[in-house]
Amino acid sequence: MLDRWETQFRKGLVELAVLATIARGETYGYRIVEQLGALEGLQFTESTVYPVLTRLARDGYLAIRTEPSPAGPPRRYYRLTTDGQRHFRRMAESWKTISRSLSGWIEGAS
Amino acid sequence: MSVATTDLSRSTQHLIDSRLDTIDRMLLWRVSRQERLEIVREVEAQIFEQLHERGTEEFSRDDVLAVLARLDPPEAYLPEEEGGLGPVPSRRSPGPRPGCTEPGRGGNTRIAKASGVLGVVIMALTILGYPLTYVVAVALNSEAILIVLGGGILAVSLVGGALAIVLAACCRLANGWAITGLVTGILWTCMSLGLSAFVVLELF
Repeated sequence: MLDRWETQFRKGLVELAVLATIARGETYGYRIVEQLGALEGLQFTESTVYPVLTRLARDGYLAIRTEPSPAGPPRRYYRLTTDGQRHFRRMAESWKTISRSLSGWIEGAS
Repeated sequence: MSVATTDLSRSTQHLIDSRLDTIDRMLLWRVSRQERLEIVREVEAQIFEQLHERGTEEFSRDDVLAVLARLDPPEAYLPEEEGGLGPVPSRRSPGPRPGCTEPGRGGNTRIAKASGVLGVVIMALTILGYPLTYVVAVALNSEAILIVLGGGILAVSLVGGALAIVLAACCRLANGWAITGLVTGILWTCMSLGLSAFVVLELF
């Protein structure tokens, strides 16, 4: 039961985590997976990250630039568009509010 | 599928292509073709990045197998209710499949359940409906009731059975409900058609 809750909870955070990674600077798919995979408690993998990346690009939140890679297929570099920056800021604000409120609420209960 | 230029033997390239094709199939009808290709391209790029990290000039079959073992299994691209974590739902639908509406995440399950429930209801209606109609018609000594009620049940089971089959096909037999819908749909549609043919032959 707890596992399921944790899975659902983490899944809801993928989009914000991906946007936050790209907001730090232009980056490519595998690099994003590596960075998010290293975050304790999140550990997102490619099957979660790539579908979100392509959806965000399709929705106009990400711009893509392709460059040759030293390792095979070209790398697709992602950066936030103006819409993407706005979307990220809104999501980040929302997350901060929720997280602050819930943390306080949980503290009071324990 | 692959666009890679790195040195790989045909058999090792085949291993990679096979994995990418499986992921592609897992995503089929769940996301648009464009997105599917992009996801698969990202996975392919990751495979070559990870091979590159191994630091060798030429990659052996074992290298490729080791990298593939580190990847998520293709089932991880399925929605959670079908055995994977699945892609996050889309804000804009990726365009409808001909003849069906494209199911979103969870849509498949709902359609499958609708198909199964419809099939079972039609089955129950047919099994209980005909004897009841007969009993009522005999009790009231009315042939009209037999024709109207019997015809009604026949029409409902024909339409319902066909609908159950269409719904099961739309969700591509996503689960047990869909298979129930397909089997009962075919069974009762065939039975209704047979009964219709029998009635027509008897009457004319």
